[in-house]
Amino acid sequence: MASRQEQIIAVIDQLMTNAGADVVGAAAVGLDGIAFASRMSADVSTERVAAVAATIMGVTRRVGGELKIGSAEEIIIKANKGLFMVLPAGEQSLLAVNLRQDANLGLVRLEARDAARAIGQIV
Amino acid sequence: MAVERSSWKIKHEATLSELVQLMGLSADEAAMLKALQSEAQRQAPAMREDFYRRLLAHPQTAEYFSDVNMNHMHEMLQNWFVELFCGVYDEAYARRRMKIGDTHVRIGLPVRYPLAMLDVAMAHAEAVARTHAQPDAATTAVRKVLALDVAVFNQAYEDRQIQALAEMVGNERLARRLLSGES
Repeated sequence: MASRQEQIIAVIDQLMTNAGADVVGAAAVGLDGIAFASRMSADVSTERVAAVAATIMGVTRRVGGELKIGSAEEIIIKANKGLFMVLPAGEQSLLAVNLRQDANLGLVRLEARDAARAIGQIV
Repeated sequence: MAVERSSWKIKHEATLSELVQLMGLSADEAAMLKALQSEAQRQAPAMREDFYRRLLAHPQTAEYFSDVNMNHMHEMLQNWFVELFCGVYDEAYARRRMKIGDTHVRIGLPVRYPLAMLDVAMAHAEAVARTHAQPDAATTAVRKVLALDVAVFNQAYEDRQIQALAEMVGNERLARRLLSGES
């Protein structure tokens, strides 16, 4: 039977296959900012991205609480050279996805939600 | 810092009993300090004079006192000094001492200032200790309790910072990692 990490990597690989070249990298991260599994590109520090993703999620949850707008479903940062998406993956983890600038967001969001749900079940 | 440290689980007043154990502060030493409390009471005004002379001569520390009741500050400082010699270093003591660290954080006082004032308190505390029949042992005891006190109120500082960041990012362990500069 595959380990938890192997199962999560399989989910991330599936996401990258389904979304095609739009997904540059992805990582499953605990709420403490530690990555469970990652397919980030070599020029990216997974450790730092994981901590940043967890921080973004934590702060967004705080915003949701302060504004009474409910829990965060997804966070998308659009920069001039790419996009970064963070989604909750169950109660204890999240999925961070690094995207190309011209990514098909509609497709990627659907695939990323499925992947986050699957990771949440594994974690 | 991927490892969870057992020290992270020791919080609030429990840090004092941990430190008492770490430093080996004995019941005899506590009793020795208690016996010196009336002498500490006599020494407190001189300590207060030296303490505020230095703080108020430095522009960056003096500005914290521009709109406060100095009589109240004097009284609090003297009480703080005398209480070093209370002889009971329990959770209630820790709670009282931690309030000092909490206040420092709340007013935005950089931690270097209270640490830099330690030598003033130390000199006067040692002067008190020298009046004991066993001056060397009393000096050792007073150094321990002063170090203990500084450790406790600095811990209060750190706890408050971690708590504030953990509330913002939603996770204490993540907050510790961010503060460590690891990520």
